[in-house]
Amino acid sequence: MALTAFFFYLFAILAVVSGAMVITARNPVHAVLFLILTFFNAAGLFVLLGAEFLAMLLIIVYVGAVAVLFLFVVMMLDVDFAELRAGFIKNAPIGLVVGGVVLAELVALFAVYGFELGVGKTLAAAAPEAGSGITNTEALGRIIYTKYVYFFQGAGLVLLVAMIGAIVLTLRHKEGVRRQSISAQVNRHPAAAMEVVKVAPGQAIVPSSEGQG
Amino acid sequence: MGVTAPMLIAAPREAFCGTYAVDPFRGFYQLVIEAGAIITLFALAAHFRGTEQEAQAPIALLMASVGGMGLAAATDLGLIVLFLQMVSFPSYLLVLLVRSDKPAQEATFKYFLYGAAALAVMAYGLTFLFGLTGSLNLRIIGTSLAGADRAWIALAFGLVLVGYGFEMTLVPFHVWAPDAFQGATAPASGFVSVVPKVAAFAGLLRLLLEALPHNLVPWPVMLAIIAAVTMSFGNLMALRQTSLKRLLAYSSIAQAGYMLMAVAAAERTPGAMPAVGYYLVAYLCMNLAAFAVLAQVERMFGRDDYVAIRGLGRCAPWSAAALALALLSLAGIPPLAGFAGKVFLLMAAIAGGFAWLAVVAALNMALALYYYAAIVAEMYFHEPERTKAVAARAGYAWAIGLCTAGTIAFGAIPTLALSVAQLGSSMLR
Repeated sequence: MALTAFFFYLFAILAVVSGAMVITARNPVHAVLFLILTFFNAAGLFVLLGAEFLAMLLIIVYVGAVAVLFLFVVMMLDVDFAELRAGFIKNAPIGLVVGGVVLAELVALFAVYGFELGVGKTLAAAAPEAGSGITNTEALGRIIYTKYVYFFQGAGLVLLVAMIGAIVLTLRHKEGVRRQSISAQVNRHPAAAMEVVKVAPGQAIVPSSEGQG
Repeated sequence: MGVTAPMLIAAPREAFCGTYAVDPFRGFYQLVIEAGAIITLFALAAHFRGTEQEAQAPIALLMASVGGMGLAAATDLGLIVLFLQMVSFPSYLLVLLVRSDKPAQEATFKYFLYGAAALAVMAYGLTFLFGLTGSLNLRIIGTSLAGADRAWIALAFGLVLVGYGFEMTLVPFHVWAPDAFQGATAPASGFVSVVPKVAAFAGLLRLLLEALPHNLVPWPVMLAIIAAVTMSFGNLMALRQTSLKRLLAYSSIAQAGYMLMAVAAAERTPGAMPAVGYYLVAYLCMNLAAFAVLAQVERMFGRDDYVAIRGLGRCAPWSAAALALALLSLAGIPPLAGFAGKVFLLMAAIAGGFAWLAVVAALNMALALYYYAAIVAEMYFHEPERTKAVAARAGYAWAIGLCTAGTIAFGAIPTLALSVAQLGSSMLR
């Protein structure tokens, strides 16, 4: 138990500290790296809670994809961060108001319901029994691939559409690159492609005026 | 279509643990969406043949149709959100297929922003339904809403209507439609004006009849008022348009108003559901034919105002005849499909106790005749500016031919489509 508490405080403190570093770090690349550290610590907290599936998801999706994507964007786009920071003071009051509202909402929520949320109870009922030997991952898989298989496939299709759309809309063809044009090939017809010449016996073929070579 | 057709007569049942209804209702609407997609595909393939977009357009079309078909069958709030997104995303893409085109960019931007906002508001409304009942299933919501507070149900219904109203171009959620239709290429506009609308009507009907018993929310009256505003606004704005695609956009807003009239009466009279179904079929034929001809005109002249079609009756008699038929049908001239459809809608409204709405609609139909007839007159009674052959590609011919055949056949023998629509009005409850 002491070990669990030790790791909890370790992960929690590290998460809060690195979270603070994300917004205070001068170098944007460092900020993203601290963000990744925060994700790792949050994943550690999930493991302590027994939610190993969420922990893996956090690492694979957020660390593996989202944060690395951030890193690429930060490194590839030449964003002028000094200029961005100049607007910070101007927008600070709005940020404070929004932050204050969210904080007040959270406080009100816990003041009214405490930690005994009704929703939490019903959700807990769906989770596997502690001694049944079914892991979270297994339980999720059983639901997703039986009851919600149609949702799962549908969501996949929507994402596929969004991906194809993004590619279609942003793909730029470079000029001057030789490329296969399938539609041009398919639409080619004999009349435009070749010339049938009747050659009389004993005559030479004179190239036509279009100069096919 | 071959696979879907037998489902019209299949017994209603559930699939995927109650999240997906397999009933004649969805069979009918899926058939309509498939027909719309296939007809658009002819025009779209002809329009983009040999260009960079040749492969992308059919894929976007396919995805949007799949989304629409799913929406007609979804009985679960999560699936409804999912499929609405699936209809919308490819539709944005279709509008912006020609990327270098400035008007198309502007159109897509507006379409996308309105769409994102409307669908987010709708999802918010659906969370209220979940919060009130604790269930995502439409039928369970319908049975367990009874004890809930009326004000919350009304709020949830209003928010959900924003999303459907966006897809169906109801006033005041129609703002994107004229710009999007004008900016997109004509076949894509035709698709966006038909398929999302059919899907949204199917989705709205299912939501209203399964999840919202009428004594909880006064939705018939709310929808009747929106219908009256929508048709009047659409027709009044259409009077002043010079771009034909823009005019058809406002006309399609007005048509959505007519159809909503019968939706409002859906629970009060059994004739309302077949009327909506029949009119959607007729609307599909007339609108797709009109947009296919406009695609030809646009290809030919690079513009779509009155000057472009001046004297079209001389230089392209077949296309002009098809466009004239489509417009006269939209205006409700017998014996075309639009006329029979309008009669059914009016009868449904009167039977549902909305006699005042039927009067408003009849006035609107008379008003609409003016601008439809003006286009026909422009085509036949004026000399052409310049004579040029229209872009004759087999795809256009197929699209226009199928639509015109539908307009005439369903108009001459209304029972042909009405009986199918009647089959498709039985829903899993």
